[in-house]
Amino acid sequence: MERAELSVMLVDDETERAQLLEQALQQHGYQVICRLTSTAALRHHVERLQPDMIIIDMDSPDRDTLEHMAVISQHNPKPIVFFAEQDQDPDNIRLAIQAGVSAYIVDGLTPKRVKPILDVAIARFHEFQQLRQQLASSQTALAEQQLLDKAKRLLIKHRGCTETEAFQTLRKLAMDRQQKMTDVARDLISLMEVL
Amino acid sequence: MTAHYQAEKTRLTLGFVPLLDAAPLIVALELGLFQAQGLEVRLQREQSWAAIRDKVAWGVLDGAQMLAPLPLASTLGLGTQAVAMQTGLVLSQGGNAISLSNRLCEQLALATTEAALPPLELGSRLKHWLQQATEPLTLATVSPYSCHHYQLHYWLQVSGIDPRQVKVIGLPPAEMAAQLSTGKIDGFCVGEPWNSLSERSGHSRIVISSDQLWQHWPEKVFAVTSDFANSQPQTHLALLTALLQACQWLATPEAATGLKNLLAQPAYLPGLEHKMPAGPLFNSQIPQAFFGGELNFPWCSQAAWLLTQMRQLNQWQGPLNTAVITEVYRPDLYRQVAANLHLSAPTKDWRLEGAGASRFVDGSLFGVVS
Repeated sequence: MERAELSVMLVDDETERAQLLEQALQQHGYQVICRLTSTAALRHHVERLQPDMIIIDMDSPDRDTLEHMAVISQHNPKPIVFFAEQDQDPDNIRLAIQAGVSAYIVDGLTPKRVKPILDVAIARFHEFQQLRQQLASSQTALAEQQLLDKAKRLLIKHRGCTETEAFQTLRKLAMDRQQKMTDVARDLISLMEVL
Repeated sequence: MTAHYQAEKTRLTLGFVPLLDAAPLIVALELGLFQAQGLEVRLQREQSWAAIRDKVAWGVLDGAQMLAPLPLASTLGLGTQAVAMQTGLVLSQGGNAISLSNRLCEQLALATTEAALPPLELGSRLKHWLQQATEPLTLATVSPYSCHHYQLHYWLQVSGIDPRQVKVIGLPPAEMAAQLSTGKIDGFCVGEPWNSLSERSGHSRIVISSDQLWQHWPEKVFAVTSDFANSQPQTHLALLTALLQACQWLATPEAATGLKNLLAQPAYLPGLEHKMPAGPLFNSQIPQAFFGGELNFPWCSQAAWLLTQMRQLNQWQGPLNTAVITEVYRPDLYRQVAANLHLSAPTKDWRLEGAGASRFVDGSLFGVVS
């Protein structure tokens, strides 16, 4: 009979993401036995805890360390393999890789037991990626707005025009030069700051 | 003038690991050689060989710089699901070395002033020392499917060292120096610039270069999946053309002066200039080359040798499978690309390894009778 619960180790230097995933796994009834951010002693922890599954950031330099352990453990009681061997669906694997999830699994675990955990990990990693992107794009949007405001203020000051006229000037310049308004604003600021 | 291939796919992402021998990919992009082939290439830095393998295998990367044994390991499905890959181009030769901690060097009575001991002599000294040692030695390599890994084991084996007396573990290259200083490891075998950096920071000494163990041996190759190569043959040839031209440039005098600035850019090997402020980029103690003679030609006999190393270390238990070798190592592709660049190429796919064109430290000869 299969054991009810798999022991999972998380290796991720994104503390927030690891926390998010640990909570989600706990909600699904899985036990996270170890969460590592710094992986200096990864080998030691794996040997000591012998987890059933290790979920590790695809871009961690410690991936190769685990590959080593996988080779060596062929003769150990708990050999581990990269999860792709379990999951025959290339779309699933691609999805995981794109989200940045990689996992090592004790050989012999059935895909049925592994897949729900992987799915949770992929969903959380993906969510985190989107949050990051949203944050980055809202920061860019804010910076662009500040640039436009500054250019308008300078135009108002130097040309004595209204805000609407300043905006129209910027828009016309952008259309004439076939540039983005933020690029025009940036040029204008550097020009007018010299004056 | 180069032939123009009608590339089926022109926007491509290629992976590399920040090592000196990522140079051909970086040069091909920076000198516009990909562009000249009508390709719009983006380079993506990766932190591990496992990530390179997986991203190429599942189409997240179109192709990548790889350790010479890695496309074979992927095709055989070692440690992962088998995904067929192939290489038509060797990107570099040599560039690895074995470094030992200063502490171990002292214990082996390796005087700092003395010229380095020949590998077999050093091996025999280590063997005698180990006979009195109370604990096994711990040495590190990066990927288990690498020439570093096989070269280190080869040296231990030809030195007659009992494998039980040496533990070989995996570590990321950036951690080697720190683990040396705490005594967790006694030495390592990795690619440049890591040996030179560790020696400069006073943690270790370079004692053997890969060229002393396996002379004139391929180190990195350019690999794609067989799926990619079959569905985009023209794109593949265009990529190989640009990369071979980059290798050619790397053997010119301009490369000697301009390469460091190219590599040190933030997107490639950040901090290289700061870490290696003076002196040449390539350590003369660790021969490394990108072009010349038959260097870029993927010999099937070399793939066969790598398979025997995998078998030796129990990574692979199957037969010396010629079908796998000729599926992965593709000298025929190299010949097409070389002919269009008016470069000569060997007419045979197999040769006797160890007989001069390549050479093993113990004088071994290796050939496959077909």
